[in-house]
Amino acid sequence: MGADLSTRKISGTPLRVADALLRSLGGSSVCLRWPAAASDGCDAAQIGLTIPGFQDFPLSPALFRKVRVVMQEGQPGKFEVLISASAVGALAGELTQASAERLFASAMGIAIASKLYLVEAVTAPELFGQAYLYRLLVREAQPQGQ
Amino acid sequence: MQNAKDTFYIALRNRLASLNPARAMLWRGVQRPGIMVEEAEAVVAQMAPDIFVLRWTGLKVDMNLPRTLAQLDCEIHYTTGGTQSNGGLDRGRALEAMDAELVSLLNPPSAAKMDYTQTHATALNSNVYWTLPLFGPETTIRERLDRLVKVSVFTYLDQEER
Repeated sequence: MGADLSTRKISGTPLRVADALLRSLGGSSVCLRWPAAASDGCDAAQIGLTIPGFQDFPLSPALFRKVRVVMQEGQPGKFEVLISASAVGALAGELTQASAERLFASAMGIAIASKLYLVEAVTAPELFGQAYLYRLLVREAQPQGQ
Repeated sequence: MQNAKDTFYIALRNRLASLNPARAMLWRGVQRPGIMVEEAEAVVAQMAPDIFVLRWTGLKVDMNLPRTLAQLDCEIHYTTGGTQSNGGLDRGRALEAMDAELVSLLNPPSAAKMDYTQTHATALNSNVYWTLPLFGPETTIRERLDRLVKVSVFTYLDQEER
């Protein structure tokens, strides 16, 4: 019985390769819709009376594509968004979020071309324990009143 | 009826803050007691663990009384996977702790009805009161235990609410 105890130096190479791949596949920009926290501590904000302002933070490079699923009547379309881990890491730091998972969990969704998509699941492929890409399963938000 | 829903939530939230301040959540960037109204928050794919989520369902109104009586049905959902340090082996105990907390939160079963639409919440001329909790069976979904508790909330509608 043995274990591989050799050390591996973590470098930024996987992140750069992932970014280059996203750009070469037509990488664009998506926005993370983030609620402003200024009034959320009050009663009115917690019972849906005062609505916080929202801010869109761009994330790029990113890829947005339709997921091939069996079409069902009345079901909204599902899409996949691939986002650079370096962009996500930078934004998580900017918004003082402990992790990317926390960042996506606190966000209202992903805005693409002014349309809102809700995040259903997040996965992150890793290399040597370092996420180099975030893969989000999103669905179209239902239309809302003006 | 909205005043009754708001009062019920705020009463439970304030009781939770004093009963167990450790049951807190970081929601929309703000640290607050671990209870929320589902319809007043953003849609999430999966319910957050270790917090109470209020979901309003049924509504009945009885107008054959001197004052109109409204009955609002509330479902209280919560789920837990135990603690990471214990490998989730304490999830049964964690769920039981939430059960006991909820029993304490719902007692006493009434609160003075408030109008939270004003800048400073104002008291109305009636109370909000509710039934004993009806605990649903414990359900297991993957590594988490879920519970659904039903409570009926009653209130007489005030003149300002009609």
